[in-house]
Order: sequence, then structure tokens, then C-alpha cells
Amino acid sequence: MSSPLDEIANGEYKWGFVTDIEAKTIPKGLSEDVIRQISALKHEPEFMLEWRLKAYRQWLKMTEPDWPNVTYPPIDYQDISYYSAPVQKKPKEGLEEVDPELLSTFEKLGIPLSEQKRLAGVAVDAVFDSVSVATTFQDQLAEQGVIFCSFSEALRNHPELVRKYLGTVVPSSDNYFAALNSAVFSDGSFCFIPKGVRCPMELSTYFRINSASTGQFERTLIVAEEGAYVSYLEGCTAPMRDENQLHAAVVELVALDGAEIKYSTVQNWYPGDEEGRGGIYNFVTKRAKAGANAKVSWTQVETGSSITWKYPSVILQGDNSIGEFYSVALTNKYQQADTGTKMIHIGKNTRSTIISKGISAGRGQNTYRGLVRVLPKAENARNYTQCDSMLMGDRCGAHTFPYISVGNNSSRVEHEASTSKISEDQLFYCRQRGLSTEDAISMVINGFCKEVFRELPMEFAVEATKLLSVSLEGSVG
Amino acid sequence: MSAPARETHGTAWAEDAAAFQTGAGRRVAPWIADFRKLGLDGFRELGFPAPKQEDWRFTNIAPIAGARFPFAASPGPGVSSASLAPFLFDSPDWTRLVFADGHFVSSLSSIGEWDGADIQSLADIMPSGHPVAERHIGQCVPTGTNGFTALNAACLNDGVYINVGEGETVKKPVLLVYLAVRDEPFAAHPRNLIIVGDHAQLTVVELFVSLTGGAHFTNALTEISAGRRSVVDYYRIQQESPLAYHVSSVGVRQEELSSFSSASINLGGALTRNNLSVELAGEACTTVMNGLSIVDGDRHVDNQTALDHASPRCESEELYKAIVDDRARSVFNGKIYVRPGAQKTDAKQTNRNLLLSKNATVDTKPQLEIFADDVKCTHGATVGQLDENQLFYLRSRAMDEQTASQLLTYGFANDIIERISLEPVRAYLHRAQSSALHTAAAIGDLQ
Repeated sequence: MSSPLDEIANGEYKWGFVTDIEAKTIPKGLSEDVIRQISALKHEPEFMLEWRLKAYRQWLKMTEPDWPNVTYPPIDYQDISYYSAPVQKKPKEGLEEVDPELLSTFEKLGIPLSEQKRLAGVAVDAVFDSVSVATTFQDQLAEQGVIFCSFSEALRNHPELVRKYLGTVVPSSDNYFAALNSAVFSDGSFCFIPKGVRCPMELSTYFRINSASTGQFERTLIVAEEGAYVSYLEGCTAPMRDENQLHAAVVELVALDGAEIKYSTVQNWYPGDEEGRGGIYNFVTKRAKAGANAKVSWTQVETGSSITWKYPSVILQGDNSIGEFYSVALTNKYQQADTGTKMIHIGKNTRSTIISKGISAGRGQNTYRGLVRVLPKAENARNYTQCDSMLMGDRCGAHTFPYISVGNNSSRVEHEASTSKISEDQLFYCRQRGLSTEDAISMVINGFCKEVFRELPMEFAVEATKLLSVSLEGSVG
Repeated sequence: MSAPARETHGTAWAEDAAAFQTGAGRRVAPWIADFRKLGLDGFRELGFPAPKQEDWRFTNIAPIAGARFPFAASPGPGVSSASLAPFLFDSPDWTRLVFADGHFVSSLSSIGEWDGADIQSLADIMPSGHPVAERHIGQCVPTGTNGFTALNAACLNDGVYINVGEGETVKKPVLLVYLAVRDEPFAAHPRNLIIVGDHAQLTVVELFVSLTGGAHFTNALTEISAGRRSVVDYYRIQQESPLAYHVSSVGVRQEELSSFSSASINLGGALTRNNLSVELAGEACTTVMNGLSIVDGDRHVDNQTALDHASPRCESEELYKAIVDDRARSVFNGKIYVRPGAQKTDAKQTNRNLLLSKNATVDTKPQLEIFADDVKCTHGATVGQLDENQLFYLRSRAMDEQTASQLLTYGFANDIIERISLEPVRAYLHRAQSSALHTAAAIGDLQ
């Protein structure tokens, strides 16, 4: 079937450049010594090293999960460098001191770090390879008592907070990749919103993998105390390379009673080339714990990575807590995504909403895997799940594996799913009104994803929309 | 899918099956002996499914694997036409084959004159080794599917063989009654082979009942091959004792333009596991799969359906419902595969569960795997309780709460029963449903 759709050039990955910057990278391989080295390089407190080593020993006993609906050649964990950091002449005190080469990289990515240029007032923590290079707006945030800094900085300045919350949502032995992350994580973001504070601006982390043969293992910990509110954004890109790179992150959200955390991700790691060579393996564990009356909302737009394996989850522990999951996952070329969510209803009157939109094109395989579990004591729990898939082309696949488990009779769980192709009628209608085929497709896709996009903060929604149309270029036909 | 785990506690079962094979006095055709041997080897290899296996994670079959249900060498005593009477759907003229403790009882059966089909008990064709049976056996349900299918093959002893000739319409439904007669524990492994030729038509009703309240194990297997443009209606009613273990494997293969319609009604059994898989091998087939389970006490029912859209332009519709009371548990896993090239597939799957008690549990997993783009596939699952508005409406019409909720529960189940086209089966199920739901007689009368 040849149509103008075929002809749209294959979407180019605009973020695929490599920044030539001196980096300190430790040799490939993984052992207790490497972990000690990472910990020493980062001048970590003793408890952290202990924690890492414990996780490593557990990891050694674990096996890589084989249940996800994805295939990839075995990963050689000894062939990865676990730490890479851009070399800076001396400890930085302000943005002026950050290597201009680095700053321009983030400028190129559209992440202006210079505070004066900020329009929207988003505080950014930029993570380059393994370490955080710059965090903006720290002073302003500190006035409100909000702590937003790199994980290393948090370990130096607020070890008691890190110690109190680290691993409370995702224990170090939770799963294979979480254990690996716990052992070797190099940096990430830490965010603490004190009781009753509404974070005055959106917080954002930008992750960038630059060096070759490195893995990125960052860890994000967000704690919102009673009644606090924060909206957090996360974006990721990587250069184009022929080899696969491993990204195994852990994100822990702690929403204490009455707190609200909104976590948005636009994931655009390098997806690999036309033949499926290269690309990032994105094996991520994200989980939140919600106290009484708390609300946690995950919104994700997944367009990158050659393999995505991620299930942002909410443990609805407190009564009346709310969990939400809004996701758009797109697979094109040879991308594979196995993503979804887990909503564990423990408290009474807990509510959860799951909206998942999967788009498969090219030879992409897109899987929604979700779990809604209502424990016997979670009286009056309520869940609504909707997962829709759209297929473009006859070589892709869309799969749905929803697990629903209900243990009492006062709860109500509804699950709906549909799969269809992009509607010829809708395309025809748009074309008739003078829209080009690409624009028509883009419009239909945006309509399909609208419920998710409207959950995204403004700038992110714009970016996501663009990203989607770029990622889909050349895929329809 | 993980490799099948070797379960050690299948050993005693394998010994029993081996003893049965050497002891089976009757002379059988060589291929039957080979087939049994294949089953035994398969069972020794596979063992019973372990909870670690994805398809079995919600149903632990340890009570079966750990128990000893000896093979019943003959029908239990005392079964008469009087004890059979309630199970004939008030339709004595139907062709019927009656099995007691897994053995065909010709005195209670009635295979009338030629009605377009060759209908015999499997035991009867074993000595000659019918060539058609040989060709078809193990085709729709491969022997190595799991430990239970292998065990069924290893203990191949009786069941039914139906071969409907090309273009023939079997006018009267064929009723298969499986009675559990003896009180002491026993195992039966009935196997049915149903071959429906091109342009042919057949209705089969399988009924599993216990005459006593004892514990026994039924490991039934039915293979249905539906030829081009054939029409097959298949009803399966399981009403075994509350202590019984019931595992069934039903495999259907549909050729071009054929139509297959099924209803699986589960009212009995301590632990019931039904596997139904349908392969849409030819183009433009229609498939209807309905199911109803009513469980209470500590009972467990697990319905697994797999629908393989292997060809273009097929339509399927599936509706499974469960009513779960007390500490009972209902499991549903509905898989729909749409193979590459199976364009214009229209698949619809729904699973609805009604929880009547605080301690009841439902696990449901409607699963879609789609490899073609021009398709319409939907699935939905709900778990909940009676609609408050409907209850309120009835209460406002001066109906007491218990009657109102009974009426709504009855209506929930009735939705499935009303989809059955055979009137005598519907009438039978209305009665059976009322007793399973402990519904007041008045509600049944509203029918």
C-alpha cells in the first residue's frame, strides 16, 4: 500500500548529537570495588555505601525478569561503565561557573539553564550522564523551605532526610533493575516540600546520556509532607549510537497525608535507527506511596527508547487517597514498550484512574500491562481504567495485559480497552478540508491522546505534541 | 512463557496411569495404545501445572495433585433411569449418551437411528481404532498442552465419538451426561471427539452431575472440529458436588465461514478450571462464547478462554459473567490473539463480575495481543455489586430488600441463560440457577 504517508521522511532524532566534553568515566565492569569507588567519588556518608553494597549483594542473587513482552539480547553487565561525569575545573558556585560547552548542550536541547532567561519560572535540575550539573532557582525555593537539589547534594546537606525516606517506596531488593540502581546509582534529583507548602514553581529534571558505553542510573526521591503540593517534570534525551545503552532509574514519591504530587515525564531517549540498531534500554521503576487524602498523578509521554519497561505505580495506603495514571506510549521502527501501571488499593474510599493510549507504528510492539488490586480492607475503592491502542501498519502489534483483582464487595472496578486503526474516515475528512496527510494524522493522533495531553503542564504538552508528530513521521502507510 | 515446572507430586498419578495402561484389559487398536503412551510420557515430563506458570497463577491445583483419586474401573452401583430422569431436560427423545463414573452405560443411553451422524462411545470404537478418530485425535487440544491434557490422553478410556457427515443436519441435540455415581473418591478422564463436516450442523449438550456429595475428580477433554460453513452449538453445564474437582480442556478449530456458539455454565465443584480455546483457522468465521459461574462457600472457579484470530474477517463475541458469594473466588482470563494478516477482525470480549460478599474475590485478566492493524477489538471487565439505583427503584415499588437484590442477581445471571437458543436447556438452567442462588421461588416464577 503506497500512499503519501509512506513518503514522509523518517523522523529524524534531533537530539542525537554528542557533546565533546571531557568526562571522567570509570572503567567498565561491576563489582563491590566499583561501588566503593562510586561512593568515594561522591563523598557519600557511610550509611549510603552500606545501603549500596546490601543492594548489590541482593542483586547478585536475583535474575533478570523474563515476563515482559519484549525481546533483547542478553545484557553484559560487566561491559557497562557505571559512572561518567563531565569534568569541571573546580566545584561550581553558580551557573557562570558551569562549563559553557555543557550549558550550550542544554540550550540546544531547549533547556535554558540561565535563570534570567526563564519565562515560565521552572526550576531545573540538569543531569548530564551520571551527575547533576546545574540546579536553578534554588535560592528562591529555599525561601519557602523547599529543597530541590541533586541527590549528591542532598546526601551532603540533608543526609537525615535521605536516610529517612530512601527505599521506603521502592526497597532496594524490589526487582532486578531497582536493585542494580540501588547499588550503582550516581545521581538524580531530590525534592522535599515541607508541610503545607505549595511549591511556587514547577520543578524539572532533565536527563542526558552523553558518553558512550555508560549506563545511566539515576534516582529521584520526592517527599511532599502533609498538605504540600508539587508538580514535577522530567525529560530525557541521548545521542544516537549503534550500541544499546542501559538506563535503569528509580523514582520514589512519598506523598504524606493530604499532599499532592504531580509527576510528568516526557521520555525521548534515543529509540534506535531504522533497522532497530542502538537505542536506550529504559528499565525504570517508579512508585509512589500516598497517605490519607493524598493524591499522586503520573503523566507520561513515552516516545523514545528501543525498549521501555516501566510501570509507574501508586500504593494507595491512606484512606481517601487518589492515584492517577495518564500515559501515551508510542512505538515506531523496532521499538518495544511494555508499560502500564499498578494501583494497589489498601485504604478505604481510595480511587484510581488509568488512561493509557498506545500507538504502534512501523514494527513497534506496544504492550499495556496493568494491575489493579483492591485488598479486602479497601472498602468502597473505585477504579476506572481505559486503555486504547491504535495501530498504524500491519507489521506492528498492540497488546493488553490488565490484571484486576478485587477482594471485597463494596468496590467497583471497571476496565475498558479498545484497539483500532487510524480512522480512514477521519483522515479523509481532514484531507477534504485541505489538510496535508501528515497534518491530518497528527491531528487525529492528538485527538486520540487528548485526555492525556491535557494533564501535562503547558510547555510539556506543546513539546509532547511535537514529539509525537516527529516520532510518527514516515510510519504510516 | 516460562518452562513448565516439574512437579514432583504428579508421580503417584503417573503410576496410576501406568497401572491403568497395563491393566486395561480390553484389546485396543495399536494407535490408541501409542496415544496413551504418548500421554503418559507427556505427563511424566510436564507434571501438574505449577502456580509459577502464568496461566495457573490464580488457581492452585495442589488439592488435586496432592490427593489420590483412583481410576474407576467400572460404573458405580445403583444408577438407574430414575436417577437419571432429572437430567434429561424433559427431552427423552434427544440422542443421549450416559456415562457413569467415566464409563459408557448403554442401557441408560439412547442413540436412535441415523440422524446424519455417526455417534458412538469412544470405548466402542477402540478395538477397531476408527481411522477418522485416529486422524482427528489430539488435533484441537494437543496432548502436550499441559499436565491435565497429557493425563487425559494417558487415561484414554471412554467418551464420545461424533462424526457428522458433510451437508448433514443433526436435528436433535446430542446430550452427553456424565454422572458421578460412587461415593468414594475416583477420577474420570472422559474424552470427546466431535467432527462436524462441511455444511453440517450439530448441537451438543454436555452435563456433568454428581449423584452423591462425594469428592471426585473429572478431567474432561473435548475436541471439536467445525468444517466449512458448519454450524456448531456447544453447551456445557457443570453441576458436580461441592467437593468435586473439575478440570476441562475444550479445543475448537473452525474452518471457513463456520459458526461456533458456546455456553459454559458452572454451578458446582469445589475447584473448577475450564480451558476453552478456539482457533479461527478459516476466513469469515463467527464465534460466540458465553459463560456463567455461580460460586459460594469456599469454592473456586477459573475460566480461561483463548481465541485465536488466525484468519481475516472473523467475528467473535465473548461474554463471561460470575456471581461470587461468601469466601469464593472467581478467576477469568480471556486471551484474544489477532495474528498478522488477520485483517478485518472484529472481536469483542466482556467479563462482568458480581461480588455478593465482603470476602469474595475476583481476579480477571482480559488480554489482547494484536498483530494486525485493520481490526476492531474491544474488551471490558467490571467488578462490582448490584446497582444502587436499580435496588432503589425496586424498593420504591414496595419490594423488600432481599427480594429486590435476589431479583437483580437473578437478572444478572439470566442475561447469559437467555442467550441459549435451546428452550429445554434454558428451562433447566432457570431452575438450576434459582437453586444455586437460593432464590425465592417467586422470582423464578417471574420468568
